[in-house]
Amino acid sequence: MALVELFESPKGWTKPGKQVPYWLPVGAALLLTLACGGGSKATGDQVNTANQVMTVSPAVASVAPGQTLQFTATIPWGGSATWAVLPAAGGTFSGNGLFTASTVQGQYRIVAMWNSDVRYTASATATILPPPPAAESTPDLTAASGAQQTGATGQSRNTAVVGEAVPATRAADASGTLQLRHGFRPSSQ
Amino acid sequence: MPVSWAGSPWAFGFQAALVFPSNGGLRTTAGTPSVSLGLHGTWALPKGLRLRPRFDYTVFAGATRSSTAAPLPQVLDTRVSSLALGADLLVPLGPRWSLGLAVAGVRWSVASTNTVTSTLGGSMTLSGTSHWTRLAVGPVLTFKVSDHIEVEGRALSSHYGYQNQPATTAAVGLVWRF
Repeated sequence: MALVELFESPKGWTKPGKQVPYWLPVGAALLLTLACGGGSKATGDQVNTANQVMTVSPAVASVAPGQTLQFTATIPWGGSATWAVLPAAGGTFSGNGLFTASTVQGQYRIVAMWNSDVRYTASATATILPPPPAAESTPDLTAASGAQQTGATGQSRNTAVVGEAVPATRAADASGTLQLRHGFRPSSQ
Repeated sequence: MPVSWAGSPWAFGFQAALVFPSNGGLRTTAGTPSVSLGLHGTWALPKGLRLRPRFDYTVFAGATRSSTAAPLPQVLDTRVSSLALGADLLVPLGPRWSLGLAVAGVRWSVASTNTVTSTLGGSMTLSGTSHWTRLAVGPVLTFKVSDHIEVEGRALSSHYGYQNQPATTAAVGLVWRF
């Protein structure tokens, strides 16, 4: 039986025993379609959803003035990102996430936006450390103890050592690990 | 005089409709309501069936969302549009009513401008347009006003975006047959 025969009359029935109103499949199809739409869910492309789908690593970094640091944006569907440091006085980006810190110390926000869909955003925090203090010369020289000795090769050992103390400095290496340096620098070097 | 589709097996025309996003996600991104325009052909089949291949172009109203949450307050402007190429299969329910199924391939486009502002100072703005092609399916109900004009209602279910978000629309429009 053709489908059209079931719905010949606007009142529904043309054949006894077939009590399906014509509006039923219409309503069912409408409800099914609208039900498939589902409710809204938070996705990474909506506002205030930074770092939910797209991520930036490292998430926190400390760099020395003028130091470069590679940031990486990761998103499930691949592709590249556009980078910025906020405020802009913090440094510059070149290439694919290579950050060069300025000499202006302070805390900055690193922002990446996905080029394939700019609605996706992620951010990180970068701290530019203060520059190391200038080395100071002091008249308090350090002299090595012990008498002078001359070795078989003519080298002098235990001679007086003249130089200057190196004030402690703190900086960060390429991986963001803090390093502390202090000691003594002989005059010959 | 009863209205009839008898005559030429082929007819052509255009259609216009008001389109309403009916799921929250699309409503957030696209805004509401929207306008759709298109062209179609109608092929009369046996038993009163009709096949209607059609092309529809829809431009949604656009939407702006903002967030003031630290550390990255954000303003996001989006405008959604779609190009749909498909066909409706219509079954007559009487002299004037028809019920059918619509199937189409839809090219979704979202043009976005994203502005983020750091609480530490400075802002970044980037604009771009993204595209996805997805299938759309749904019921169609038409009422024949005259030999040249029909009123139709359509409910289509589709998806868009890299996360395949639902995109469900309901449309009410007029179909003009030349």
